Amino acid sequence: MEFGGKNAIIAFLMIYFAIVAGVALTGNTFTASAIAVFGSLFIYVIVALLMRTQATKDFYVAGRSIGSLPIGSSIASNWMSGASFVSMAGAIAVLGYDSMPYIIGWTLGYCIAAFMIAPFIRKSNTYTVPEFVETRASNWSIARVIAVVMLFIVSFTYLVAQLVATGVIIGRFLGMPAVVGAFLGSAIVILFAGTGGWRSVVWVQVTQYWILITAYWIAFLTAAYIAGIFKPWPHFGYGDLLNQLEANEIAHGLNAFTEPFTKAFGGGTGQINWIFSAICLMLGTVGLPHVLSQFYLVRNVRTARYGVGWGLTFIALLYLTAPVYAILARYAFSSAWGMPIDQVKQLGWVQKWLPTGLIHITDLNKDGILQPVELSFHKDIVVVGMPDMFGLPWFFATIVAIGGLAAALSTANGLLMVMTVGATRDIYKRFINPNVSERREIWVGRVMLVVLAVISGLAGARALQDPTFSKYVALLVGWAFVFATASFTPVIILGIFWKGLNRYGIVAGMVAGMGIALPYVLGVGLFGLEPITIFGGKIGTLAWGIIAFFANLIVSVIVSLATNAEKANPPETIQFVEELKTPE
Amino acid sequence: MMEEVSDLSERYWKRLKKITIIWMLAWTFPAILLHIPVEFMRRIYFNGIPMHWFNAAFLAIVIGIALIFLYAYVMDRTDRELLGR
Repeated sequence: MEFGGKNAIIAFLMIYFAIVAGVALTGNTFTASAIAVFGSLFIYVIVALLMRTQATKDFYVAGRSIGSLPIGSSIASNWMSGASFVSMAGAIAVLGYDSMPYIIGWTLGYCIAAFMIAPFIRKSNTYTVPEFVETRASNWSIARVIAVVMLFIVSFTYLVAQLVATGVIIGRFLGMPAVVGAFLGSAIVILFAGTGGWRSVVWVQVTQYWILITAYWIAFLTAAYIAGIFKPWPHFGYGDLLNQLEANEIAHGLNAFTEPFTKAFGGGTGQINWIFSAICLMLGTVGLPHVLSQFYLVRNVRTARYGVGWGLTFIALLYLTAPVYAILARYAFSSAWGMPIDQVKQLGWVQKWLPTGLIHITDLNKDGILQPVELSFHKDIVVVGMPDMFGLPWFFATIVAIGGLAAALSTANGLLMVMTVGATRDIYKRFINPNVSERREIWVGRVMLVVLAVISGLAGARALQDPTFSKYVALLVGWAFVFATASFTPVIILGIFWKGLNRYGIVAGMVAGMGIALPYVLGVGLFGLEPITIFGGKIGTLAWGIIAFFANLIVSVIVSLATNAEKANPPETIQFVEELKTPE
Repeated sequence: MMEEVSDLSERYWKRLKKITIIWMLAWTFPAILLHIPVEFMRRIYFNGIPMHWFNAAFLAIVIGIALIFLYAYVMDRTDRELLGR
């Protein structure tokens, strides 16, 4: 990033704050909110334009020039979706200790990435994950096609989910139809990615990370201060509040919040399911194409190692905060239990959010007193409604909206970029027109980008209007981790560390992994079959990913050994693996 | 000359393999081992917070971050030692 670019961004931020503050002081809060939200989008577009480029190397791998701190923040915002920002704290508030596989599962995968994947992916000097897989499978094009198809299925469903989140956030805060918001989201993302490919996307993601984390922390710290959990610091000072919450829960005949293994996670129960699910999320994370592709963008292997470290640090700033958020919100709910219902309906946050349908109050036993079971809430309310629960001023809600948008859009533009590169480099350049000129290639990329964004925008609009379609999108997003664990992750790890893995082993392993994962996931997750029980705990769909992972590993090894292992690999493949291991 | 290069690569790869195994074993601590003795951890409190919850919600991730930076540092030292940079 040139020095001038940085200064320009800071200047724009200053002007932005000045305008928003100016409008806010005139007392017109709605206009100020709207300007703040759209102004943030405008800033991202400016960053993207400053980073525009015509070179394919910049477009595909950001010129392999990104340092460890920027790639860290880019990894973090690319990884943390709208759901991480808006819904995760709510999921924890609902499930208590049983939701913890989300927290450790979606973070500690980056350790595996740092020790076993990122440095080697960077060293490979390939441009895309499918290209890596093809090269490793001795230039067998079928392996690349399978990889591209996987990449599209996973990234597309994920992208639709992000556009839905964008639509919901814009709809909620600005009173526009959510469908318009979803299309607006896809239009904005075209601008981010179309200007300079990965080069502009990375720098937009860096900007978005700092906006989203600031938004999350401002609301959190203020609520924490009001709740009095600075003892000495909110992340480990909520002990008294938690004890009070659990006393409330037990008094109302519920399980205590941190009581382990009382609820289902991913359709399974018990400790084995808990641990397996967490490991599956970790292994799945490092097999997701949009996560892997960021390791290509860094300067060198050393930057890759540190970059992943910063990435996890920046992710942790949100992931360590979400559980505390959950406890704060649940405490606010629990203090309403046992109140007369008329009185509850007078509470400020209940008045505000009852009409939106994010909370429901039904007097089931007709006694006029609120029981825990009579207050149900949508999981988004925890983050979205926090400012109102603690009586914070109006602009906190706006800050949360801007942060949620940044989280959804930063993931969306990473996904769109991965698909664009897949369509351009892995399909067009590889199979249709290998001799394409550099200029034309970029234009093909831009056309692909617009087509993909429009299709996903349409799918997002459909998901917002059709609950059944929306359910399938949500299911697929959840299963993406199982499929990545079952197909990509074992191949990549084994491919780096074992010269003996050959093309037959790779394909047989992928087929075996998916063959084990798919029937179980569909049967248990969709058709309501009874899950398998091990040691008294049910094995849910996520936990099953571990079984599929090992099936893939074992089959890859056996088939490779049966087909002469290393001898079946041509010299250039052996050379490719050797080069991953040699120092730079 | 060729001999020397391949010999160096060999040594480097041996060392890298060893480091990778050690670090992956270390990773099992925050990812798996720490969460097995739930019943025991529930009875221990840190600042009023039950330890089994705090392990998953805070400690495990902090340990993970420390492991990655430690790995990067150790690899830097290995590069300097074996490659003279």
